[in-house]
Amino acid sequence: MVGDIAINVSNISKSFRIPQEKRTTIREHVVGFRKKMIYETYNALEDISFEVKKGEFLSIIGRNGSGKSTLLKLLAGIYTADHGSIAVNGEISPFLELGVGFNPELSGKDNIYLNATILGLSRFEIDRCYNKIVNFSGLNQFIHLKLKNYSSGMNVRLAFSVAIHADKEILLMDEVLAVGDANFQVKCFNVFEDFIKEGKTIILVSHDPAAVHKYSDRVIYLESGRAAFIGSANEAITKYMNTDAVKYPVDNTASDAVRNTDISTADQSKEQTDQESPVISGNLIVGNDNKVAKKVMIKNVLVCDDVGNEKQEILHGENFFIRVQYELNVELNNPVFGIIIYDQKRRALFTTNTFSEKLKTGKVRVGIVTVNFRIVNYLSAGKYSLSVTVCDKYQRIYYDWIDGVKHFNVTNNNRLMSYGGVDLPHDISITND
Amino acid sequence: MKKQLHYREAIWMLAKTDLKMRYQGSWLGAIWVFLKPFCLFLVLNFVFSNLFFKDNPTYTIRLLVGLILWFFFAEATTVGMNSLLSKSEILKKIYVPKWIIIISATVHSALAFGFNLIILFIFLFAYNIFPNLLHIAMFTVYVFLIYGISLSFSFLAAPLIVRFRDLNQIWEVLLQVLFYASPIIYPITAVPLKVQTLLYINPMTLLIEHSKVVLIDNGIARLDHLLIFIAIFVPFLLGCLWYLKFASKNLIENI
Repeated sequence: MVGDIAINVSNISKSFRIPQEKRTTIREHVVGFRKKMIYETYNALEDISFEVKKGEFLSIIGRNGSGKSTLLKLLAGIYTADHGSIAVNGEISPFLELGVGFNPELSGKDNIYLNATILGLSRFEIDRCYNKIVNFSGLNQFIHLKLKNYSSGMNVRLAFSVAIHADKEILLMDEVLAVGDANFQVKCFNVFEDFIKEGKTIILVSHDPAAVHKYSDRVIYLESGRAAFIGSANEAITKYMNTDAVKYPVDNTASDAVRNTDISTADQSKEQTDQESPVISGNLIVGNDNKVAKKVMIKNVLVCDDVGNEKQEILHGENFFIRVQYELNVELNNPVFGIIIYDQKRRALFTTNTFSEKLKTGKVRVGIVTVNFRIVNYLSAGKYSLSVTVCDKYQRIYYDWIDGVKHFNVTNNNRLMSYGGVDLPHDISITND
Repeated sequence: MKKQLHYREAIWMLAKTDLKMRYQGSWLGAIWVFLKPFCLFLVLNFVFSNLFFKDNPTYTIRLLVGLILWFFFAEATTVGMNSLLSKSEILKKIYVPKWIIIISATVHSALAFGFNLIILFIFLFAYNIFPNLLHIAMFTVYVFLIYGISLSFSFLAAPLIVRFRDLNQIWEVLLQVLFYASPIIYPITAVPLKVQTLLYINPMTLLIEHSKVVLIDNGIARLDHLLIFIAIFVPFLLGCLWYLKFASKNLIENI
């Protein structure tokens, strides 16, 4: 292996065999002797290759079940790869969990020795840094107390203190960053940055884009067991954020419901996609000819510019309009018309309606009514979906509510990236005295 | 070299934790190490020396030798077998060589055996038996072989029990059978010659029998038997080590 490579991973695969019927005793094996064991093979990782240079900060991001933790366990030597090889140049400190081996019946001191030994320190090394560990944890007066008498926060502090003093050249971390109270967290992050300064090789598994972006030299984006992308943090995070949308079927399935002149499709899409929206009730009327119809129906929704041209891409900072046509089958007194804009993570980033804007809609007559929302686009770059609602003046009865009725993208050419939900107009000034 | 030292420390650290856990909060503490085999010894001695072996003046001390060796074997194999399962929380989170866990679990049995030896020697002296150095050396070889067999068995059984969780129940029953198939409560001469040969399939038979010879009879047990025994034991140990290495590959995901 070349001198400046810390870890070389080549073509590793790992699959788990999951028996459909689990047999864990000899009795079960004897009884089920004639039946063939049926296994489902789950490919946790497929053909992953990468190198980590010494002193590099590599992050692994991906959704739940994408194989992040499996990869980390392979690197730590806990699992063995089915195929491929992992070559490690240097000693590894794995922090898949804090306080491995901690025993509640032992004193804090004993647990320090136990945990540090498991993490690979010799007795001599522990003796040498024992005081530092205790001081860092701030538990000097409790150190001879049994661990079971510690609060969970104290527990974590002790564990973290041992962990950071048991550091070898290569650190494997599994989202152990967010621990303890605010004060302690600052301490942790300082230590973390010290590690980086000291030139340690760090591999972090996370699904927090902010932390990943802050520290990483390179990022591996895992998607269902495959390395979908290896490269710069920016690109990896963008890819991660964008594909994340697949997780929320709302955005895709509901696109059929855009032209929702048909009640049934609109209702179906709503049922499929949103359990949280209130039940539409009190909305049905029976006409003279015994035909059932809705009192109000969302007829047409348009995301457009000021002259009414439909828009898919909306630039940051420009005005855009959401034009909703409702069809009223009865006369309504002060109905409330509203919209909600969701980001890909189904966070409601922006909601508004005629009630909250103190807009009296008054008596609305039977027929088509068009509501125009003008919005200054301060959303950050990304994909958004739109929900449209109409309810009575007390906001108790929802006459109609369609999620994902429209989708649009926001682009921002003035910024490199933005991870918040909104992109507020702002300036940054720097003074250096 | 440094690595070896560290493994030793790790084994000792884990064993020490086990020891503390075992005896903390128990009223008699470490006395239990003596009490458990000793109570059984008293009962068995009372029953058998009075009922069946009245004419054997050394019956009591022979029983004690057999029992102490047996307890060592039974304890070490049982905890060794369960060691990986009971340390699963550690194994799932960090790489530790499996043999370290297994050996550290059996340290307690070895220590308990050491304490019991003190009792044994007190009894020996009380019976006016003073084995010489050669005898003690031979006895030491037997003890190490018992430990070796227990460890080999644990190397084999500890990964197996992960897949077959009822192995400990089975082993409990088997231990009962082996106990009666070892010349502990009876002298081996008490059974017909044909059955004696059969009993030697049980590895403990030879080791217990030879131990009695060197400790009590002041004799030298047959060395050719010992050599055959070692010739079988060494490949067995290597085989078990190989199996442990082989089974370790996919062990943790099933634990």
